[in-house]
Amino acid sequence: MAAPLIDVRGITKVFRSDLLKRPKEALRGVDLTVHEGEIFGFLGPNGAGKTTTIKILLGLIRPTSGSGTLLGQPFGSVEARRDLGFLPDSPNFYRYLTARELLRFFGRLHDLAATDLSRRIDEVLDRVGLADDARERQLRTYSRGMLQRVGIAAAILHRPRLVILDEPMNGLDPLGRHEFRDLILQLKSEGITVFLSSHVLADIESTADRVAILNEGKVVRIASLSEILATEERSYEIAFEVEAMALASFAQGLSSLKPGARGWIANAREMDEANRVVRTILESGGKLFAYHPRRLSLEDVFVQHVAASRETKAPAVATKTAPPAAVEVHERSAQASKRSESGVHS
Amino acid sequence: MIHTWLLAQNTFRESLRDRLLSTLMFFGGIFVCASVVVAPLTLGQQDRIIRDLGLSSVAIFTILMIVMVGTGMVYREIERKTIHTILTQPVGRPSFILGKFLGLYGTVLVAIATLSAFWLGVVGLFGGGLHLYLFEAIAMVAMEAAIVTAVAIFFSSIASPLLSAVFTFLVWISGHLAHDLKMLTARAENPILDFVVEGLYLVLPSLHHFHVRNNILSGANLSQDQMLWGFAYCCLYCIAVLILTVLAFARRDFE
Repeated sequence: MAAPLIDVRGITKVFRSDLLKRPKEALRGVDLTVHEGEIFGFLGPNGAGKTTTIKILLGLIRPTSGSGTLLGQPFGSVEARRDLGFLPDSPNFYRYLTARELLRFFGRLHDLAATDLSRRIDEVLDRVGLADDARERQLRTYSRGMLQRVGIAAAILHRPRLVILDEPMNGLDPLGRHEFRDLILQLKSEGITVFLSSHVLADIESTADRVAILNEGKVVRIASLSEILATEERSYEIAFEVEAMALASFAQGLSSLKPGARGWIANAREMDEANRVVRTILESGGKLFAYHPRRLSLEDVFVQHVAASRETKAPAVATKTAPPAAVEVHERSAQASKRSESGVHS
Repeated sequence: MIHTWLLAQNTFRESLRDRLLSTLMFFGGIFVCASVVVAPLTLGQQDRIIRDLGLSSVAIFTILMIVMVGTGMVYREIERKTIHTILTQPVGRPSFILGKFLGLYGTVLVAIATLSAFWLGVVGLFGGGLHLYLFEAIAMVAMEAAIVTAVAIFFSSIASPLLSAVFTFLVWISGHLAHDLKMLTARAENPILDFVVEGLYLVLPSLHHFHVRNNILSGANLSQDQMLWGFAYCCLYCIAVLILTVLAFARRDFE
């Protein structure tokens, strides 16, 4: 098997910005590999350490411990950057340059021949959909979305082997997001490996082959997208209507219970539990509107992993501050009983 | 080397488009020309005053430009995160620093050339004609500017623009006073004071070598040794400061 384009082993990063502040542990032993030709989704909530990981890959910051390679070279190697395209999370460029001047500058830093460069600049600007009349304007007059498009053009200008995109959809309008998702898939079809960091799960779900979920500086899950979605447990959704008094009797064990357009919608993780709820509904004279298994989306998986890793990290805190799911369901059902008794129904 | 040159070109272009620079050049030009208005107030010394005030204006506005444009140069790149897009290109950190220095110094040279052209025009018309020592004085201003530019880039890569402006200005002032201070403390016969002042004298740039006001006033050419020594000192000091800057910059994290 070919060597991975990104190989990260046990990376940690502790920021010690201020003498009086406690050191901040941004990464706690990150391991991941990205193989040639794949679209790799890098997911995580805000502050999980995604951008810190990327900056370590690029050599912008040094890890506290751990090692790895980017395109077969140590992190920060100038040689590796020849085959690398990068779009930062908030691209900022030289304000007094025009889009063409900026791309010409970057192209020349990548040793692109001057004769090909003009044609290539037009090609990538067409590809990212930057309007013709904007290309000769200074970048300080650009909107965030336009800067994002220029940033994407700069990242692919020199036909890199690997493109690292940090929150690439930021600032793009819905049409731009759609176009950009297509562009990522096109890059893959051209053999370019894409490392896509985002907290927008729909973007990852529609493009990525493999996914890593990062939370609080640690990779909590890494697998192919199809594997994650296939192996993760399903949930069972039940839509029903019962007397308010009966509701409390079977609420325990449900993962969620919320008012629906008509009656209630319950979710159970286990089929046995779902069956028990259905029996209870029918026995208590309630009406069953729908009962179907639901495949978990990437968002569901993400939320489960992030929540689970937080609970593992601080179980004591969790029990003190957050009520368990069953208690929450009971509280909701009690509130529902009150609403029902007072004649208010959602 | 080509990358350093490209970065220098880019810095040069960015600096020239900075409105602060054109504003300073405008006021520098006014000050140079103002020497013609002030000169008649001195009896029999008009030529010398025009030469002296004009050269001082060129020198002071050059330093002001370096302090105001140069001291934020690297810091702004870090603050605005433009550095993320540059250091992820196939560019080494030493090339980045050297490119910034050369680009800024190129801009400063253009400013010196423009203000000097004004000055030489004024001196040619009202200050007794053009002489070799006038051009030598301009060369000395350019050498001093190279040292101050290197110092500004050093502070800019480790401190905020305000702090680096203050530090650069202090180094410039101290560089001019260091020689006089050394002469004064030599008379005090205090070994501790001698040691401290000697240390400062070694670290601070000896800018008094580039101050050739007496030649301008007396109309004497500079010796070849003085020119060569000034050039060699300027090159060595700049190299030393740039090496320090590269070392400090190499260890920085860009969060």
